[in-house]
Amino acid sequence: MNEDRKSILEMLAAGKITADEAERLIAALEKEPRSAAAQNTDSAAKPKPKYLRVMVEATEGHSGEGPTKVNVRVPMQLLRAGVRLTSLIPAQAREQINVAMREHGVNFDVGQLKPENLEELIDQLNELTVDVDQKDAQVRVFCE
Amino acid sequence: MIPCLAVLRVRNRRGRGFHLWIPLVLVWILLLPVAVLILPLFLLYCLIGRVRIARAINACQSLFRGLKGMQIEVENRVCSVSLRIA
Repeated sequence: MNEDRKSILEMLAAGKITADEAERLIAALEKEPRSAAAQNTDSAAKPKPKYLRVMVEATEGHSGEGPTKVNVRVPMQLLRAGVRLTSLIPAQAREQINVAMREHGVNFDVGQLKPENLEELIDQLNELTVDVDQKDAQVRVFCE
Repeated sequence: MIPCLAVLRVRNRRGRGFHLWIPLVLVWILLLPVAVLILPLFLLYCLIGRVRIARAINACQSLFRGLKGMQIEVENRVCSVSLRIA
């Protein structure tokens, strides 16, 4: 019997919680490891993306050379490095950036941007494809 | 590990073009004196901006390492250009 279950039973014995509440708490405890295990198997099954692919297909180039295709493959490592570069921004400049972003409606602190945040974003990008269809251009962003 | 090779491919609409294999190792060696010249400015920047030097060096190093695997392709009716860093 683990510690959490034992403490729930002790609270029940002491009359601090009712039998229904104890049952609900134990059920919640049983669910937790299962969902954690399910998450682990999901992340293990899907390989982490290595590249961010940006594909642009424009029907007419800016200087009129006909249809233009741009295909850029950016390593995730480079994105991580980009995030690390934010640490090179001096504190005063960082504050100026924050103020400018706030003026444009983005309430965001550049100083809080860390590689760990990017990892979460990359995990989410694994399942995401951004398609932008316009009259003169198509943009596709995805991870691979 | 920092990238060692860049492959530049240029092709025109007739299919003619060239492949250029650029050994980046040589480029890095050539850039080394420039890096030495920039170093005092970099240190000065770190001191004025109150940026940790170790963190700054680490960020620059990871930027170089991150370039490996980068690929850029641009293609239009006139020509196609591709750059791959390996």
